[in-house]
Amino acid sequence: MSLQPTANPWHRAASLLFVLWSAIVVVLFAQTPAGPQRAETENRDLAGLPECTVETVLSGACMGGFDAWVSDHFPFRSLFLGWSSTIEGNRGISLASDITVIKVTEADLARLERADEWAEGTGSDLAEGSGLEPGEELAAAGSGDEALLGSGEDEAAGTEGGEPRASLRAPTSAELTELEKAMEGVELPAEKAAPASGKGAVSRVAGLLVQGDRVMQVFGGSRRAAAAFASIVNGYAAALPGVRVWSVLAPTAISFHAPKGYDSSGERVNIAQINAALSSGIRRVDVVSEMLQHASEYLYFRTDHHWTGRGAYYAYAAFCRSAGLAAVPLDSMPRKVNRGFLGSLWALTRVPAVGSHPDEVEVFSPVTKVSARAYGSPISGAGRPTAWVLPNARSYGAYLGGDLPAMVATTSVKNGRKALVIKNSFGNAFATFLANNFEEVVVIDYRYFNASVADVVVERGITDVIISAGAFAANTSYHRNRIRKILFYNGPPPRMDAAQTEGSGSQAAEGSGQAPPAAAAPAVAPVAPSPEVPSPVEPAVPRAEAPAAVAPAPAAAPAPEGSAGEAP
Amino acid sequence: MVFASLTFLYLFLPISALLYFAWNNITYRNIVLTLVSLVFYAWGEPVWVTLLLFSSGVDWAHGLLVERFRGRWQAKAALISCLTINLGLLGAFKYGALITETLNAVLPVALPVPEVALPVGISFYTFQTISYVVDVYRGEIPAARSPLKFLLFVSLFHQLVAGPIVRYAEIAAEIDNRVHSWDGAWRGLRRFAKGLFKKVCIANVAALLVQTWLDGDLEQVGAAGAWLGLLAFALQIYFDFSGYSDMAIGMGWMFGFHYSENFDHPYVARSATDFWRRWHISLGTFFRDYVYIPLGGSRSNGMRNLFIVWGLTGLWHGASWNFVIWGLYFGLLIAAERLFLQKWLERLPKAVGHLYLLFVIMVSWAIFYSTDLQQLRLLLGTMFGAAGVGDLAGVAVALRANMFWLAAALLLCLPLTSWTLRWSDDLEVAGGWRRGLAVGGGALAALALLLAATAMLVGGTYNPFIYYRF
Repeated sequence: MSLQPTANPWHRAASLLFVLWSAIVVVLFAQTPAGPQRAETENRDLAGLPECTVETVLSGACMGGFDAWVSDHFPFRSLFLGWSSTIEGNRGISLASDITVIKVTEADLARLERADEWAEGTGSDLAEGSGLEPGEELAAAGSGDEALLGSGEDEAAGTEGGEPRASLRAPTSAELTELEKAMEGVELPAEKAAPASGKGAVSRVAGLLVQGDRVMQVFGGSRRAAAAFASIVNGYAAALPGVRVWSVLAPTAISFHAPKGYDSSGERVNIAQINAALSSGIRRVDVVSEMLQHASEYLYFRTDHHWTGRGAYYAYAAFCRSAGLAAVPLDSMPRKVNRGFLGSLWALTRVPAVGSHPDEVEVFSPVTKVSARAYGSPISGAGRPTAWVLPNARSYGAYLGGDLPAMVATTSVKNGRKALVIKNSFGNAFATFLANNFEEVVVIDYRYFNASVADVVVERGITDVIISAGAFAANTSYHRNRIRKILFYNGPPPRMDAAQTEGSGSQAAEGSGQAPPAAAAPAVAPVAPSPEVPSPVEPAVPRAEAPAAVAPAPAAAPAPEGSAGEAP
Repeated sequence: MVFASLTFLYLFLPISALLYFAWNNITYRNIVLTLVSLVFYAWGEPVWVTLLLFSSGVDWAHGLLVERFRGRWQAKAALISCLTINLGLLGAFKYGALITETLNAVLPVALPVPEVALPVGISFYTFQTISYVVDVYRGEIPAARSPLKFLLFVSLFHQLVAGPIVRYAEIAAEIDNRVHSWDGAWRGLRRFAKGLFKKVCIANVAALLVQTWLDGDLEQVGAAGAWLGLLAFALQIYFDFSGYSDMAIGMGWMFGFHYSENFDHPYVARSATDFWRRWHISLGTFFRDYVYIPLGGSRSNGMRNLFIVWGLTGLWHGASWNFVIWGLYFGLLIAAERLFLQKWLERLPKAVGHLYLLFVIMVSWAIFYSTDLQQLRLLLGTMFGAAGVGDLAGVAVALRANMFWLAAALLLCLPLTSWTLRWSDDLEVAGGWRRGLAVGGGALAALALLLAATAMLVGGTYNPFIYYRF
């Protein structure tokens, strides 16, 4: 170097410290292989060097790609990620005892319809995980959903071309009543009631309950809906002899974090009712009890409607206990915590106190070697590689990378067991853990899969079928109809009878009309919802898929740039 | 490229420095510096780097013309031609849409609104070249003979995209002949680390709060929320802008250039006049020297000149009417201070001046933030209670959740680092082990700031670039 000698050798030493550090980084960069790489610990492909042509240089894409490469290959990256979490997490002190009243409008409600897409991030991590544009997935999935919403027409259409075979029909009214009898006396043992938390008044507006920096959905299922869901699980068991069928329903945050004095038992009673009505051959999975034992842990996002990876882990542990499998201990799985997730419920409410305190996404990677491939429906061809877990994603999309019609994970486990998970987004986090205990895990999103599950079971030699969804979905006819429909996708139309009409018309009955027995009036006086606002049972979801299918997700997601969807 | 990016910090800057210091020859070094500056600019503006080259060529040629015909009418013609081209480009690229939209709104016409992306840094480099040609015309500096050296002056990446607005006279001598020393390198690194930390660890975090509290439903956040959002915005814009200036000045030191200070702890000011002596100093002096004084200063039509200057100052910050209002608002305050307010404030305790300044600055940031006039009315209304006190509980939660960060940010608004640096310099002068302690402590602190900022960048925290409008 040609700097002039200095009177102060200390200055040279101090400067050289920085020169040395930069030199280390530059040298380490120079040694990074240029080709595409996979980060085994993160279970995802790192950005490769971009292809630079005249066009990509002029558009800036080449330089943007290079910046992404630098970011992905930065030396000591995981160390720095840890530091950044530490800095982010210590900006101040978080206490969550304050209550805010929010106004939710019709337009806001429409936004929750895209809640899953929001929570999973429509941006980079979804694309990264699935290789699909978000809109592409929805377009692929959309037509079936839309038709389904239009009552029985599509089911009639299903006959053409397919040879008639047994179909899982909707239960009759009498059958449902019979199932409901099994639920008699289902109550929660007193000691199992969730600890009440928080203090002060609570606002319950349009199905959302805001307390301090946490937003929860208010549960409003019914006994009849529970019976209808149980009948579908029973139908799966009857239709798939020799296969173990499980129901693993996810409770939501309201069962664990309801404010003091608020009767939050509805959801847990509803899940218990479903379990009580399962046919005798089906072994129960007591998710709620297992989770209650860990109620003080971080089981639910405060800003999103999903459970966390940790919450889903305890469902997995409960499942393993029933299934006679050894659950992998939580602390033996590679773990990664990403701060800065603002989920669907923040997007919907925009309560600043919630937005000022983003969630952490705790991601556990399986201890086995997993290679996952994504498929459309039916599952055919070689598929394409996709991520099972995205350890760096700052959204619920960390689990399975988002919602795909179908995925197949092959693991290094050798025990002859193969699982098929029929799920909505709640099942994503749950399914990731199954890779620890099954040779193969097939994941089917019932909302987007338009083929026969029974065929998949036979063709792939599935040993365990697990229906894993949120408890809200079990109580919503759209979701039940989808799960029922895909068992034999091309079967003959089910018998039309009184109960069948429930499929298209009962939304109002379930959703807003009857006060569901479980969701009794809260002890704390709710802020009166305006009369035109439909009330609580996740009315958004059935309406959701149709508009979402028409309007591609990017336009629909109320996205503040860069706050939630981006993977680091 | 932006300073606050891993590519810049860990590839561009080290490699540029390596090439630069590889050979001790001033022409070689100037060529390297020019080439890397063009790469720096083209990284973010691969197309409009041509405009930068064009603009530099035009101004270089005009400088020569002005000098050649000094004292004759051709010199004036060249000056006018140069101003027309520069202001024309600025007008076309920056104000085209505003002009046509305004005409369409006011007159019964429907002109097509041009959709041109604003080339980054155009306002900074255009002002630099205008000041150059005017200075040549005034005979204050000789015209640059070498097109290379002139291009280096215009494109020097230290201050190309976010200031300070450097004048040719400031660095002309250093382009030809500059001293590089380890003292300068150390001073520069220290300054750079401080600026980077201000941008990444303070401004970017503040930006998230701004987004949360000001971009949503204002009626919901109420007065309390609006003030919290504006406090965050005041911190964001100050730490972002002054952080960039720190980094520019620091890099200047490393490469042997000495740029003037651009910020001097503006939030400790006690009047709007005082504030503008401390805020974006290079812009204020530009308007003083090239607009206000030529118009006659305070001697003839002082008030008219003052409002012209402040209207233009506002407009410089963005092609939107709220910026003009923002500028005129300061014009009004400064006029009032000149007429009577300053005298009153001087008689009152100092605290009153501080409170007055902080209040008017917060209001000014509300004007600055709302590029939509409807939104501006709503925000001002909300600030002053139109939507009630608002979400006090939510504000309390947010304050608690950010209290350590907020305390650090507010402390850094005080001339704290100046005090520490003075203390450290005193220690160094004392010599011996004290000198080792001062430099060693400084180096560790600077390294900690750099690593913290690096971690935040690797962590992919929200990192907005706020100069796209300038």
